[in-house]
Amino acid sequence: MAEPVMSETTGSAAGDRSEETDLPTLRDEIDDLDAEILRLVQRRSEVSQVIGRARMAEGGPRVVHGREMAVLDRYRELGPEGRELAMLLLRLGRGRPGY
Amino acid sequence: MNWTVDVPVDALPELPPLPAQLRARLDDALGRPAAQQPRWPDPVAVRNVRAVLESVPPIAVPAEVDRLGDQLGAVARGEAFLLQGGDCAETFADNTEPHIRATIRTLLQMAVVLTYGSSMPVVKMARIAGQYAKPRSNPTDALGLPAYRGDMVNSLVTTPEARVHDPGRLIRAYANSGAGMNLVRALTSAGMADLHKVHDWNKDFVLRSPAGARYEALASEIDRGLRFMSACGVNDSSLHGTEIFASHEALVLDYERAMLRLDSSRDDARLYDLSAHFLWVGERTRQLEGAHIAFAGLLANPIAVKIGPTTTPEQAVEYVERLDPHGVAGRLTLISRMGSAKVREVLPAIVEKVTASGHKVIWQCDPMHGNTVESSTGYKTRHFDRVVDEVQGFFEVHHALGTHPGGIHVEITGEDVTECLGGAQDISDADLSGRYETACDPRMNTQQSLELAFLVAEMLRG
Repeated sequence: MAEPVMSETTGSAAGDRSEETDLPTLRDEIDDLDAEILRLVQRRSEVSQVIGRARMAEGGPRVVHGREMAVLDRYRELGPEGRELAMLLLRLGRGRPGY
Repeated sequence: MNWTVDVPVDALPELPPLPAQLRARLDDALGRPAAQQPRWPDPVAVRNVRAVLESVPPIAVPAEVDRLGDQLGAVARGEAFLLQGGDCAETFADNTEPHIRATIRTLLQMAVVLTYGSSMPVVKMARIAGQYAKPRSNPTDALGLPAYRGDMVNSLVTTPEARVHDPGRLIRAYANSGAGMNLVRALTSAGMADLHKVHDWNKDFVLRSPAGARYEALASEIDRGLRFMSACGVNDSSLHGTEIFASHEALVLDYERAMLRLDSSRDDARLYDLSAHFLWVGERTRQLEGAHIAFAGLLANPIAVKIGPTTTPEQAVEYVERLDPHGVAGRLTLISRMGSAKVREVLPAIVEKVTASGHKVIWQCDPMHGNTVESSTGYKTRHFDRVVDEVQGFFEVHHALGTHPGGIHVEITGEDVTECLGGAQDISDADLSGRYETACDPRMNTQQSLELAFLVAEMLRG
């Protein structure tokens, strides 16, 4: 039963094969993506901290619950892992709650 | 109120006399100036009411109070967490089975989440079975009528007659408290507190809440924990029942003094206020030389004092030395209600000074009372973000000082009211009018209460 599905999958990807099997190039791309993601995550955390400090300086709360919900919502398209990823991003910005 | 005293007051048995020293201290306490007291029009009527209450069975018994004392000792030593919550003010009309059941259920749901988050026993205490009196900032309300001071004193109805202070209400308050406590005991021992059932309710909350995604991870961890215990064959009675203690603000001294009972079954006779297990002195009645503090000092019950942002570290130490003269861990709880914008600034010096005194108090955070504002639509309200922020500030202070954030004290209801802003339901100024039902201050509804519990669990586990 599984056989036709597999061959179909292989078949549909076959057109891109030349490009996708150039492993060294793809690995380079992964390395670049990681560097970029890392840079963006670091920048995101910095911005989040700046916002948090500014809000508290104005007498506001350290965390705005509704904003965090909106961030979680954004990553929903990635499924359950998206939620975990969003929670990690939030934590990198505002720190562990209560510390 | 037609709860007239139609029993032969003179024929009621008097309470056994107190030992001379206790009698003198009680007389001294009651002779001090007492803030926020009712003005009963007829002094004979209130004396008769007190005589009736002196002969009724108590709401709590000394053995329970002592058990709570032991558990609070563990909280003070950093080995347990205290969850206290319930209505801002109970009312006679709402002292119904559905209402009590909903409050208890919400508390139990919060307690499971907090137990998991803290990996500690959670002492569960309700603002119930006696929370019928409220202090007020102004003697009159916006209509110029005498202020409503809680069902124990007068009526919320806006007529001059209904606002007259009626001591017959003390008896009705007692009767309601007895009935309420009976239901609380029955519910918690008859299966409502079953851990699996409570956890199923929490899973249901996570499924339905717009913020469910936020809490799903913790809920699944608890789920796995429960399945692990089942797989190991763990089946302890503690999984199926629990104990919920009763507490209220010791405000109306005519009620509290009439519920005093001497326990002479032990060598050192001890005086209990058996209107509840646990009593606190409020922010407006905590004058150091006043009647409430002196009265609380006499009790064998564990007690608490609310402290607001004007409390100095020196004052805090003074409370601790007066109310915990023998240095008993957990004897005194300091309930801080600083406001989210002040807690990080004001609390550290108080905690440091009290800790240096060597007394082991419980530090409990009341994130409600310091964060009350008026909405653009004219309702007294609190924003969920501020509530969470005060708890978070409280945890930050304790984590930085290495002291134990011992508990939270919250105004909640198990009903779907719209009294506090924000939360996952995103209740707005315009939504408040939908179900604004509190007799006094705004309470968090079920969803907001559970959200808070999940967030506090995150703070507890670090």
